[in-house]
Amino acid sequence: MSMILSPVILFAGLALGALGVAVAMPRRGVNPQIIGAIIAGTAVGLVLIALGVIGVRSGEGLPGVFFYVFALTGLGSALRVITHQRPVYAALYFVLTIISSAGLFLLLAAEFMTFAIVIIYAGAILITYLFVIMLATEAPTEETLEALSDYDARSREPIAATLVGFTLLAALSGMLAAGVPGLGAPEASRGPIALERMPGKVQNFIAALGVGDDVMPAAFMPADLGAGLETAARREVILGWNRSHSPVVLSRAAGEGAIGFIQLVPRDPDSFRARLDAARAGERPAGVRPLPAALVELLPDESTGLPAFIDADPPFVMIRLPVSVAPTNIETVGLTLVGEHPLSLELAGVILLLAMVGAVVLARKQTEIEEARKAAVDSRLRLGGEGGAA
Amino acid sequence: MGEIANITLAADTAAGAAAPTPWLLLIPLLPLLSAVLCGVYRALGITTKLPGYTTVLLLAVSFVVTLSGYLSFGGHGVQIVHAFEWINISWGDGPGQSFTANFSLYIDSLTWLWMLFVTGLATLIALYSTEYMADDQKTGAYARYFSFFSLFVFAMSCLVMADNLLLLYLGWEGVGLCSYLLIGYHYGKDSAVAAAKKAFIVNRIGDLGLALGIMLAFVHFGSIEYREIFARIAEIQTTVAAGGSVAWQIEAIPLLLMVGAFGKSAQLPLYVWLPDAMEGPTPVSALIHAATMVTAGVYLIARFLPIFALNPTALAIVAWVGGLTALLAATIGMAQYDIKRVMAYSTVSQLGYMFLGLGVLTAAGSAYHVFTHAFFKATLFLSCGAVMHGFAGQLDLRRLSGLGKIPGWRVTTIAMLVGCLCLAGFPGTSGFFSKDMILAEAFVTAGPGYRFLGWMAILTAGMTAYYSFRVFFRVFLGPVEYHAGEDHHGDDDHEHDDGHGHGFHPHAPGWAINTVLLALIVGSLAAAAPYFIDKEHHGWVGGLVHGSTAGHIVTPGVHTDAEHAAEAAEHGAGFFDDPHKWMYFASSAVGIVGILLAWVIHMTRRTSAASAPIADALKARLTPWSTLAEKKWLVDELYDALLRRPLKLLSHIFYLLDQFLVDGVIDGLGALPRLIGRSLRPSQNGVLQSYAVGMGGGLAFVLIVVWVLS
Amino acid sequence: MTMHTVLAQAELMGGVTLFHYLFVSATLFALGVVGFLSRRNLIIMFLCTELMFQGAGLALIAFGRYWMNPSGEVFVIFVLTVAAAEAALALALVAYLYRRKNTLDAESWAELAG
Repeated sequence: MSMILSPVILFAGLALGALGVAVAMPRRGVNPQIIGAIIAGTAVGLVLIALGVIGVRSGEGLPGVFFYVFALTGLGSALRVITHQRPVYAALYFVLTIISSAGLFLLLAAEFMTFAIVIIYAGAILITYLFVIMLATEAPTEETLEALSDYDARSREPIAATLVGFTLLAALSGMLAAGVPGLGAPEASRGPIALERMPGKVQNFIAALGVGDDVMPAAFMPADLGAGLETAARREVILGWNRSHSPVVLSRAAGEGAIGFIQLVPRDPDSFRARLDAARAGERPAGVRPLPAALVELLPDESTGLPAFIDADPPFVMIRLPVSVAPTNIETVGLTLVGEHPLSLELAGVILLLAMVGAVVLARKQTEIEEARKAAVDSRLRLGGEGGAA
Repeated sequence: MGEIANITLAADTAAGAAAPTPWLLLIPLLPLLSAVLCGVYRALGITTKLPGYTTVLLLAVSFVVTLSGYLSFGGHGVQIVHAFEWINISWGDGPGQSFTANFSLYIDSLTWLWMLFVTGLATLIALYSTEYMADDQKTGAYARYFSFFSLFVFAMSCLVMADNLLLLYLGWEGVGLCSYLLIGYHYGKDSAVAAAKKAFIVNRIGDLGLALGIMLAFVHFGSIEYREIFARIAEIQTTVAAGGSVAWQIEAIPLLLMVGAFGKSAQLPLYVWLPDAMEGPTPVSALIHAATMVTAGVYLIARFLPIFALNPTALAIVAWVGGLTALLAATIGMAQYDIKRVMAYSTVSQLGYMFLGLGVLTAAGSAYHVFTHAFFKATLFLSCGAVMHGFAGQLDLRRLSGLGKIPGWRVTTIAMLVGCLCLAGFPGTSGFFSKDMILAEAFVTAGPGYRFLGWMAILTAGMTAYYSFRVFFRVFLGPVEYHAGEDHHGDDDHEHDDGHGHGFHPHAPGWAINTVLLALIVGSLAAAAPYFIDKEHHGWVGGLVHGSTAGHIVTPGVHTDAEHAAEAAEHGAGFFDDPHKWMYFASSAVGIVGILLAWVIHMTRRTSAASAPIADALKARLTPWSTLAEKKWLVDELYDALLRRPLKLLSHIFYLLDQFLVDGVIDGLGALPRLIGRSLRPSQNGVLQSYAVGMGGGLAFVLIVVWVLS
Repeated sequence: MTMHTVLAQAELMGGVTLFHYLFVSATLFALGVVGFLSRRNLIIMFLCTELMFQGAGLALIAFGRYWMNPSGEVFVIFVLTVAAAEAALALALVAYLYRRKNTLDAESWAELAG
């Protein structure tokens, strides 16, 4: 079993991490939380350093600093979320975790989600948590200012919990590091993207070329698509995602400033080749409509390093899509969300509405109880008053 | 052998498609209406004679409908009157893939024969009952009696008129139920309850056979409707006539149906319930346990005689069982003192004759004997009933004597005399002719030991004459002497003193009983007349049988046309060559000898009711045989020892097995989950997180397993 | 050159593979599990489930990026929706339970004990 990471390092790190977390869990009396946190942090750092060494050894230069910063911040604050004795601080550490993972999302080029989780989690959900924490906690008095309730100060069977959690983690990360056969996605998921699913500006770009009479656009191929050309080799270590494992042939061919290609299919495949040759040679044979100059300029030749797709059957040509018209992440997400999952989107809306109704109903019950209690108190008072009067 | 015709059943049933006559449905429905009305009267607490008269009226209308139906009936062929679709299931289009049982009537001449005497006698006996049961008016049991009585007639009509075996079975069980209810009419009496249960349970054995027979018939014929069955039988008959063989399943059907018939008609070895059934009111004994229900077995075999004829073994069994039952019951009857019990054994004995007749293939003789027996046995029973009613339940012939000389008992005496003459087969009476047909046929038909059976039956005829006149001479002739029975309570509507012996005044029969007895005397005597009508088919009854399904039989391997002709020629040969001729004289002689013997033994030197010196001397001389016969050959005791006690022991063993072995295992199995549950219970502590630990640990475990396995 | 491309190249240049992200996501998830199993405060237990959501979301986005498939991100949007709904209801329930027993201890709710 070949692993991306030495299993000794991985499992030793995890064991150490488990020890650290177990020690860091809140308990009464001796409180070695700091020591535990240090041990856990060391362990995670060990694993991440080991991961970073891989990058260095493969000659890819320095590891991505941002990734390690965000990962360590996120995991550290997550540790504090589960170990901090005061719920308010736990919630605030959770905000830190959110922000760290938002950073990771940004590294993954998921800009939309980056801002979405910051707004929704850190902005909306966490506010709710803080409200409830305040609602459900006795107002501190002078004596109880520093006092913690028992259920916050003492965790429940921390060793068993850590054991379960880290066994799960060991199994998961071990499997991921080894790469599990069969986890690979079907080829089609990396295939060309239909033009209908591209933003309008891409289609406008093609229309502006003015070559619609001779060729028609068939599909968009992302520059990264080249990775799909070697999927058989990649599947052995499908989770290894570095340069040595993903030669981006087309991306390199596209060069700077191109994010992908538009595949154009000749409307008249039979005569297209002859007309192209003629256009390149500068000839104008009688009776044959010449290819537009714009198209000829667009077409790659051997010097660009592109494969000669013209010889394919049926023949097609690829043109570069400039960065200026490339779909951004937000556009892609929007198109996918609305274009492919409209029903799920509607259902999500319905679920949110129902959740709101449910929350309102639950809240109403509370007020009823309150009113009943208040009424009982009132009647007692009134009786007492009457008794006093008599 | 006039019954053996060469007309096929299929052709006949096809020709018999008559115009629909739905009003014939009134025959079974009027008794049902009567049963419901009487039930309503019971609920309303009516204590007048209204239930009795309602029943008489409705049964009389039913009889009139039957009579008019018969008169408008052409003679041959079949009428099928469809009432409603009862059961109709199909699971395919092929033959035998549907099950149809409609509430429809299948009416041919055999049905008419049965329905005529069933409804006719039921009407007369219901009229008789209005007076006989009058003592029960106040308690409301009167309405209950008539409700059951009417229900019986309904069930009997279903049995006889059914157009399929399931409806027949319904009627069969219905009459069994009514019989049970009426035997146990005096349910306060332990002996009545025991007798009712005995009748019901013994009949279960027979009914099991019948049910299995019906199932086998369905499996093999693909239908339980008579039309289909007889069509299939006709096909089989064709192959048999052409020299083909019969499938063993077809041969098994009569064997199973036979068991049912033996149970219902009280034949060996299932006859034991009938004598005990006399615990019921006497009219019930007369109608159900003498005239109608017990002939259901005869009807069943007569109806399906074509199937029986295909299996000579079954016929032989029927003949032998019938002959032996007749002899055994006659020997017991000779030694009984309870006059109703004598009549009961005579019924068993006469039913034996009918089965003998069926066995030797004279369905006409059997049916004729059923017909005449219904009249004269009803006469005898109702006479006994009159005696019982008048003498407060007294039935012991040693405590009654010379009733014929008491004023008011003339009609009863004549009825008894006529009944006894018919039973004894006195020349010229109806019983004489019907019995002769059976006896003679035993000598005609070829079969295993049929000739011996014939002689045995002649001997039985002599014994019958003896025991019937023994009763008549002891009870109705001789010095006048009587003792009241146990039922005498000095009721206020009886104007006599209480107490036994001299202070007791017998209660002579009233108009209803006398009218019915007179009608039955006429009926018993007139029942001889049909013998002379339609001589070609052995009398009117023979004609009716001949026109029905029972008339079309083919037995394997015998009765080709040539043989038939030869046989006919034989009939006309010398006197001793034709049993039909010499049998008149043989049976006359045997009957008269039996009567004379009874006179000598029971009338000479009689001084009181209890004493008949010659009889007593003879009894002492014949010990222990006479005692054994009096104790019914200890058959009940034998059954008790052989069947009841072992079964009881077995049930005890099973009870213990159930209690300790089965219950132990079950309890042990039940305790196991409880034990497991108790040991696992702490894990269900209700705390969310302990469940979550299980979930997370389980997920990790599954992941590791998947990882290791891949 | 958009941020998209810059960041994509930055990842590659840094030698950070898909496994790096998945490891972080699995660790987040495991920490969430540990917290859920051991903390007794109902609110913190729910906070821990949010932590697990974060782990799952990170994995989804990393895979989406790896396969160049925006469905990963879209899926996270739905997860976010469910998380929001769950937070609203769960917190309402927590408040409700708190009113009934005046405690947030998860162990005080053991009515299902066998």
